[in-house]
Amino acid sequence: MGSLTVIESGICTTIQDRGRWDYRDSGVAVSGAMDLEASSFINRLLNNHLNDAVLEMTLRGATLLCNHPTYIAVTGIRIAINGESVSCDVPHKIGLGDKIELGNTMNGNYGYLAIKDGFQSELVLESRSMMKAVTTASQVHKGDQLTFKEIDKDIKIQTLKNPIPEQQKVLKAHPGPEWNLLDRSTQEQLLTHDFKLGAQCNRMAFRAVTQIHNPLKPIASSPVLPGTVQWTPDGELLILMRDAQTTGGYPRILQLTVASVNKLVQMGQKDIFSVVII
Amino acid sequence: MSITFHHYDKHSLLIQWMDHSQILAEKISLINSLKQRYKNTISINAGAGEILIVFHKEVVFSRIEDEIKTLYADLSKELISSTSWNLPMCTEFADLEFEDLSSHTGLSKKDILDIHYNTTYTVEFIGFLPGFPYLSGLDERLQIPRKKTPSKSIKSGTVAIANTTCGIYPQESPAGWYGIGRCPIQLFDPLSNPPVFLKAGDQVQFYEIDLNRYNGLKKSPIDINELKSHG
Repeated sequence: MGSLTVIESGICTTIQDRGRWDYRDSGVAVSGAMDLEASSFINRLLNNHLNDAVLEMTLRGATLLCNHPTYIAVTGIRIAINGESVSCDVPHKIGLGDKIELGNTMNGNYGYLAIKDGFQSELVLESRSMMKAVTTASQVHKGDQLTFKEIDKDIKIQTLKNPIPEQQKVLKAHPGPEWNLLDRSTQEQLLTHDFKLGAQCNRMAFRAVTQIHNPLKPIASSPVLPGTVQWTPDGELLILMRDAQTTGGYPRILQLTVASVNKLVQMGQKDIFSVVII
Repeated sequence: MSITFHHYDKHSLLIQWMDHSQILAEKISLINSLKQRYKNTISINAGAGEILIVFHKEVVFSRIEDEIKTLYADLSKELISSTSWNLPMCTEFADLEFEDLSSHTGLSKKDILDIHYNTTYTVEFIGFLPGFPYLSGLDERLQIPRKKTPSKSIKSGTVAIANTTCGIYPQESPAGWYGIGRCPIQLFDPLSNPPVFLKAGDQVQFYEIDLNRYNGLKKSPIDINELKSHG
């Protein structure tokens, strides 16, 4: 088994695959990469399975020391190998003693590093996605060894074009189960509103402030999914993310498409977005 | 009773009951037959009056809805299998919230606990946090609204009540419910399959233990089979 030694962990660095779907009835969150499009893209660059575990970094990346030759690829984050800046979105061969420094994220909040055949961290309930109370560690820490399979032959270098993110900030959504309890004018207000993200956006939920009065009462605790938009009594939109709880008691007014969630997770507090129903 | 459907997204279908009362047995039977019918092509979880099915591939909802209506019509009226559990609980902790509860209900700590220990709760579903059981059957005298502002943190194992429900926090968490005791039994074990021993439809009754026994059970956990009620 090869490994990368974590010299610095960055701000919030986790191992993520596509998550664990089959334990929602035990109250276990789905988890998985926040930007599934980005994590799929770099796995594809290395000819990996789409579910192979990658390193997810938030705002600023980790510094890693390589203990065995392999291939890596990164997307959405600055990278230097042995002090020299190299390109994103292409595979790099790395060897024993190479120092990999990940800098700031470039297109949003989350950047990813994939390794040939994926990280081989602890598999719990059929997933390697780190999650409090489920996996032993809920984040990557300084001093950790991130293990990977040793490669026995060189890989064919892939060149794939990273799809250019759309600049238009319109998110697509299905009407949520409680959408039809809203009157016409409230629905209209929500669909013409320019939203801004608030503070406290994380892997559990993103928040957006509204000045619109929420006329709905809390509901009995009901199933929710990543991408479910809940409306709190304070008027705040709580947009559930990968580590969100499996049931919730706030009205579910919208359900964002997976592509729109991938877009939203990369937005910052300066971005303005609106929602359209499909 | 009858069910309706809501298209949650392209992959996910929500099954809803208009009236949430008296549907638990039906809901559990339907979940069982959905799991049998669709096996590992779906992920499924339940809430108060709903079942959410996530299909791993896109499906044609009209066909699936017809299939589910048939499954629903064919549900056997037999009783679902369930287990009765006796769960220990200790009340010798300073952070429990009997003062608040007493001022809301007008009952003393002893009254509250007598009512609680004499209640047989039913597991409605597991949700919110890994292993968190929603227990129905809370006595009307103990039904008070959840806190307006949740407390920052409630300790792992806390047995808490609010609205019409009792629950057990399997891990430290912010909490909107009122703590009445602490249960030393591990409710969620990610290394077991299934990771939660309580299941929807099971009966739960609590009994009092002292701090000594509580600490003993935390230190050397007992086989969960010993918690099954044979009465």
